[in-house]
Amino acid sequence: MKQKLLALLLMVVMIFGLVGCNQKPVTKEETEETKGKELAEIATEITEPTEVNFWHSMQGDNEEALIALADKFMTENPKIKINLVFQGGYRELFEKLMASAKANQLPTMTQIYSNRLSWYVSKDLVENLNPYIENEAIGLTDEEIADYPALFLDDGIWDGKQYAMPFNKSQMVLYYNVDMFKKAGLEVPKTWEEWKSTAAALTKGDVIGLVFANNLSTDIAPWVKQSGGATMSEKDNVLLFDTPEMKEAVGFLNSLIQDGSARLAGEDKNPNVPFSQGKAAMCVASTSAISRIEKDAVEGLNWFAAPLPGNKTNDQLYYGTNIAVFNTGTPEEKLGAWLFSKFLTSPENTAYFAENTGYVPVRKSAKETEDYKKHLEENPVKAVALESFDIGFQGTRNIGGINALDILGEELDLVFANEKSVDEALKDAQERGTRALEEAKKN
Amino acid sequence: MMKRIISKFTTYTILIIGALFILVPFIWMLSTSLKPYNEVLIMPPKFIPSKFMWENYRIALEAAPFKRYFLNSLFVTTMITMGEILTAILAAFAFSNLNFKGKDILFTVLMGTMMVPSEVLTIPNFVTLSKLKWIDTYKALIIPWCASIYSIFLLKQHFQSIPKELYYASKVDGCKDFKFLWTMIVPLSKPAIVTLTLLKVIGSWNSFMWPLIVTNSDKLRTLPVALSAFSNEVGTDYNILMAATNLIIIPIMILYIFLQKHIIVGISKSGIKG
Repeated sequence: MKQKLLALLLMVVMIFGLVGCNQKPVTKEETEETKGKELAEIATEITEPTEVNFWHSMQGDNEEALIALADKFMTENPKIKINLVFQGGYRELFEKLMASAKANQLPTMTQIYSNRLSWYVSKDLVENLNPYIENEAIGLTDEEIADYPALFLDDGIWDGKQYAMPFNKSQMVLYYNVDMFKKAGLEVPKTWEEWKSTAAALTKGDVIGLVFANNLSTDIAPWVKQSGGATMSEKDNVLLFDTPEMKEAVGFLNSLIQDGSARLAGEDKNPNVPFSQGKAAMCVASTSAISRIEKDAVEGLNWFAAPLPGNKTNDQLYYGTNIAVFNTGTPEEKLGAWLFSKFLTSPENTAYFAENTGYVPVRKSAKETEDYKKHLEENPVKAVALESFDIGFQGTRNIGGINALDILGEELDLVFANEKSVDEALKDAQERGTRALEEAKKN
Repeated sequence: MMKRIISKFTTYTILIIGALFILVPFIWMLSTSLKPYNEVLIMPPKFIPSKFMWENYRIALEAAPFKRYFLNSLFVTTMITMGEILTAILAAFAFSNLNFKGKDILFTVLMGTMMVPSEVLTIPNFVTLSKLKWIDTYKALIIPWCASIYSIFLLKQHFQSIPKELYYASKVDGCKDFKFLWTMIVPLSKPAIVTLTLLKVIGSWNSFMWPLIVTNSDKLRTLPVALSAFSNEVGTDYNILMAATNLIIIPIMILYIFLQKHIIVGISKSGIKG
């Protein structure tokens, strides 16, 4: 008996020990050294060969475009070597970044979502880019800064400091089947009411009016914003799941699903899949799906895209990652990383990246470059995402916000499956989500 | 006579249905790997592609440095399997045949570690390895996997089923523990060891997350990492993915064909299935 108790005790100690290891936060003491570095003067010239490790999740055509740009950069800057390291999908990349942060092994720079970067900013691990931007020799002019759509720069600003530069951005748009609209004599909807009636009118036989993505957690943002609300407040770090605005948004989506004129992607995985097969008249998806739809489309599919229909406002959701430089590198490495960030977001390079991938250029003047102009003429659908910068916004960045939104997504699935009322689901999502947010703070 | 026919008929029907359940996904994978892109998701599904796209295999092979990944997978899997089987045999023997202080407590504690989900361990393990400066080396890919409590437990149970009389008799004849282990226990436990080997080979061959996390350079990455190149947030190139998957599973298939006899004995004796 005594032996068993001892064994049990040892086991408990061990398990908690392990979990404890995992949750060990990076303390101020650990970052003291790096903080000192941040205050130090930045390097403005690279005299010795310098290596910059850039972790990313770009695959296929996207990776090829990135490699081509890195090669071009290295030819122009022979002293800087950019090591592009593919770290799997976003999930794997972020998990690895987290592990590396805890082991003090962060790369020089990375591709990252702002809602993930907020944790690193809070731990003082990210390089403030303002000194670089403001520097005359290596920085950006006021004109250049104004050339970045404000919503993209804002996504990388915390407490007035620029911690990230925009990288691969896209917009959530409404794809529609032009022929089906023509045949039914319908216009592309501009408001929720029009949208609802259009979806109902186009649902016929094995064609459904509208398809949404499977997990409406982070993607719920545009409808809430268009109803005058938000998913959470970044300033007070509180969730706004159980609010009249959220209820209006969820109620609208649910009414479409319940009356049979809309569905989630389900087994198709992505909403663009049934749309490309001509089995949906409309779908809501990212503009990064454009090349995929082109590839998947059944013969003769005539399609185009439009901004999402509005409600009280016409806010449009943009998403995508930024590039951030960690402050753990040497001054030269950080300078190399800044120069590469600046290079990637120059009008001609971001235009090149956008042309070869499905993403949006992150500079307004990119559409004036000869190549991209020609590209837009050949692919007019790509111009859609360039037209809503002024009414665009990006998702919230609260630490643990993704976990809370995942919970909201779970609750919404119950609503869409008719297993829970909207009121009940939102109340539960608020409670469970708040717990997740609290939990994340401890990390 | 009639009864026998009915019973045979029932048995075969059940077996055929079971075989179909296992074979259809496999055939589907083969057929998808040869389809043109636009036939992958069409309804009703097509088992025979309108045009055989052998090209898919070429595209798959060109998408990643397969040769390097293949050699890495082969090396890492071989080392891990050998390491684990060796440590499992030694530890299982100690737990089943030897008497030492704290044996039961130690075993319970080891069993306790099986209750910790592996996801929880990723970050602490990464931190440990980076402190040892093992990140981006073969050591990180191999050494952490060279011991498994599950294998120790399984072998211990098997070793215990071997009559103790054999052990005592060998002791009387002056046989040392180590010799007894290698000349008696290991040959008698061949089916269990083969089963473990195969499970381990499949596990490490397919392992994705760990090799990706502990390596940064292409020259150290393994085959499953190559598979991740065919899907992203907006969709998956199923035909190319299936072509690559077919290429990757060939070695496992060959191994299975060679070890089939032992595996079946192993499964029926140890009651463990893959």
